[in-house]
Amino acid sequence: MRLTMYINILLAVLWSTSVPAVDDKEVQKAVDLAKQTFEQAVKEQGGWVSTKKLIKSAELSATKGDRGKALKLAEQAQREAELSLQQALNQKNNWSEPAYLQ
Amino acid sequence: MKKHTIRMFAIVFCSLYSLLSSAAPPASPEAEIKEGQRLTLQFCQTCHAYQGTEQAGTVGPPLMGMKARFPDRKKLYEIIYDPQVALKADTMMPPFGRNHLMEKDDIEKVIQFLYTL
Amino acid sequence: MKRIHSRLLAVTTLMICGTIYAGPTEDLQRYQGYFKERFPDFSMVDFSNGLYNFNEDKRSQYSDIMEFPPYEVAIEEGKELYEKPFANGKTYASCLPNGGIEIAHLYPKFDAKTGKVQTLPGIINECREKNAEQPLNVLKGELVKILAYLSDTSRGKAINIEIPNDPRALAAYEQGKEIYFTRRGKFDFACYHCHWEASGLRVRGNELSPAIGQAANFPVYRSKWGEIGSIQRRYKGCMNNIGAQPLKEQTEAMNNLEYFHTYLSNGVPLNAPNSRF
Repeated sequence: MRLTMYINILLAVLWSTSVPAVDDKEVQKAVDLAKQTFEQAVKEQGGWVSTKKLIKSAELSATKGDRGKALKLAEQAQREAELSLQQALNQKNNWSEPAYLQ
Repeated sequence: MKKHTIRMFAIVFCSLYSLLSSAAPPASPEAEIKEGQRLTLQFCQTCHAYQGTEQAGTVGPPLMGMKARFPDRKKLYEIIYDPQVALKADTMMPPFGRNHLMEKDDIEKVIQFLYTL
Repeated sequence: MKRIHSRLLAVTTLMICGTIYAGPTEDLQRYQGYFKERFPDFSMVDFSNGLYNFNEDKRSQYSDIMEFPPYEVAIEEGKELYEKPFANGKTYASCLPNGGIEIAHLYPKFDAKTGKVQTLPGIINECREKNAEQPLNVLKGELVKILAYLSDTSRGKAINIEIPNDPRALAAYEQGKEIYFTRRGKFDFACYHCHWEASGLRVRGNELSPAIGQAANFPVYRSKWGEIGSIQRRYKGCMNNIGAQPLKEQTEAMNNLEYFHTYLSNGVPLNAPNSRF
């Protein structure tokens, strides 16, 4: 009975501290999406240098087998790429000379 | 019944314990101000001079008397978060929050430090 | 491509209507007027001295350096490279107006035949390809040394960029203007943020040069580079500094940016190659 109890406690601790498994496909999908969005931003003469670095870091983490970190970085890269694309598209219609020149 | 109860109790207790133990302890006010100072040096000194800085930027106004000048903390937060909205549309001050140069917590810590100036 | 066509259409329409489109001449009056008001004591030569107007120590260091300019070797090497015939016996002089001498202050130039803006590095590489030679790197190295030599032959001549009354030239100018005034990068900076309202002030310990006069110093020997580099190399570095993915060199967008930016310095005597830290 005691043995069963200890095993249950151990399982509970392991279960509560474990992170959901991330597979290679999920990481690759996230990296590809971030790259695609970044390229879209660059096409619009936008894109941020930091996004490129995040994508590289994600790929490096993936090759090292740290899929959790790779996914996190890829998702961060995607958020940045979206912001940079939004910036480029928004600026097309809203760029202007400053008020003091008009 | 007794076995089942002990098992459930163990599962709940251990789950709570590991959850709580993984959470970071809250930072002290001094630690927050120190972190705020580090962030201010990294992001703000480029354009703004403040006490203790040499070779700081002169593009923006000096940061002094901040609590007196910006008593509304929320307003100061908004200025740092997105000055194009909270200050003026053609400002050159970067949108530190909107563009994730700093996260919300970081901005709060910067304000903690600015309020000591 | 689609965007430049729509810009072209917009410019043509406005020209036909003769309405609100002010044009490059009026723009230049406003732009240079802003700087003349901001720095009323500056001559056009002063503008070309950029940041050295605002820091005595740096100006003094610059004067010391200019006793033995670091770009002299590049000019000599550039002359040798320029005069050396291609494998087929032809020379660069056969491709360039006036043999390439005393023309640098007129570039970038709109080419009516192609409908595009031409830069000197672009023409040099076109010349090479026409004569079965490989194109050269346009940011540094041999081509920029040739540029140094050609610019030196125009030293002292007032920059004179022409924006002819051709819808395609005006569209190129407008695109350059748009790029200049567009916010980019993680810091959301446009070029004008540092070099207009903040000119003369300091960022990260460095005084900011006014937009007028900047183009007069390129190609430039930068201590940071340890060699001479072209203006588009500096544009890329600047874009990188503000966290923006740099535009690709010698693309239409980058050439149009150079067209607009150099136009801002019309009337400033070319003082290239030059030296900067």
